Amino acid sequence: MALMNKTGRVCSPTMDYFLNNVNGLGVTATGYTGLSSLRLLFDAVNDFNPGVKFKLCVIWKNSGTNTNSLILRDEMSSVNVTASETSQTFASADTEEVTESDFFTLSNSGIRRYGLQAKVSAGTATILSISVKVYQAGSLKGTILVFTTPILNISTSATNYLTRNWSDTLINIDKFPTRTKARITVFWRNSTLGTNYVTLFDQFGAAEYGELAVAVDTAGGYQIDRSDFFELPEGLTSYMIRFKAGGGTISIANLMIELVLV
Amino acid sequence: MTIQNTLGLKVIDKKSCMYPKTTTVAGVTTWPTNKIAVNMNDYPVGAKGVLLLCGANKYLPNGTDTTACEITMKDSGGTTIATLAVNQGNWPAFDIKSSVTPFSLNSGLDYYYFVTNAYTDVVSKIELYIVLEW
Repeated sequence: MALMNKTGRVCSPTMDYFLNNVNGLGVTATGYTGLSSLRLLFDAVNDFNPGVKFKLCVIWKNSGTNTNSLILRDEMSSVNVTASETSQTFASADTEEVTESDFFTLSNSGIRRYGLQAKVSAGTATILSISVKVYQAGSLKGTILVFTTPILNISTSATNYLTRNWSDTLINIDKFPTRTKARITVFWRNSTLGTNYVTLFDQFGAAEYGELAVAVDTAGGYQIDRSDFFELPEGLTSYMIRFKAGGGTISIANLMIELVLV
Repeated sequence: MTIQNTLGLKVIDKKSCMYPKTTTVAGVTTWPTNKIAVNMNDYPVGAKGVLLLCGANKYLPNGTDTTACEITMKDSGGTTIATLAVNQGNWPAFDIKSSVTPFSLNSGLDYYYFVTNAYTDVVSKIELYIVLEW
């Protein structure tokens, strides 16, 4: 079965940043500056098929006829991924363009935290959407569909699960390949050596899936943890993420949910 | 390896548009800062789109606006690509719905945005699945 596209690679998945984290984000710095709260957690070597490549895709504009630039940053080593840099010179002011980078690779193994940085030659850039696109050659075996949640910079000492009054994601598991399961990856800390909990609930908080409970390694230190694979119920369901602390105060910087063909 | 599901569709990509977002003017409203970029050259020939919507109408059932929460997906040129409505969900009890028939997207790289139809629509989440039909 041929699943190749014109470039010989299939884009799947796209690690979208939720647009409410991005929309209207203004950048005026002429040197690269971090886009706060825009981060991803993944293992570029082991989460995808061998030979995986990446692209950045961005919808943006500039207040003048200037140049916007975007680059991926490996935050674990504080190094910009130079091959990921993508720029757009705007022929018209305040006119939206969608821009893709060239393919680039990431070579660091282990779950790492990636961020984004942007700059302008002049004027003000307005960023409306950013995607990190993943291109895997060959079949879609082992495809991971990754998407971030908007859970960012939340702290709580509540020992009961916090309720969120709006959904985090819609999933119709019936439309995914059979044997697709979910997992949660989270970047968080605890003020003490307490236990952090995160669980995926349905929209009404009536059912829970895939609880991840982790006793932190170092009080006050951020760490990345990942749940086991867990199954989701049949049909279209709206889900939300809920947290609680087993002691101390937990702070959650980033969280991702992945759908994986296992 | 069997990777088909029972519905004859397989999701190969998933793009998210996160709100919550409430319309602020009567009638058709555009949310200009919420856009999704899609490059159909990234996908196998035959790939199509499926929309998923989580939304509500804030003043149902006792308010003055009895219109279902509905979104219309448009391309960068303003051409309508797809429309999806939920079953007049009564906020804060959001309703969820998926489009029944996959729809075609523009070739190459383009971006898409969403328009709602009523003053009181509250949209919590929009998902765009890129699917292959089997």
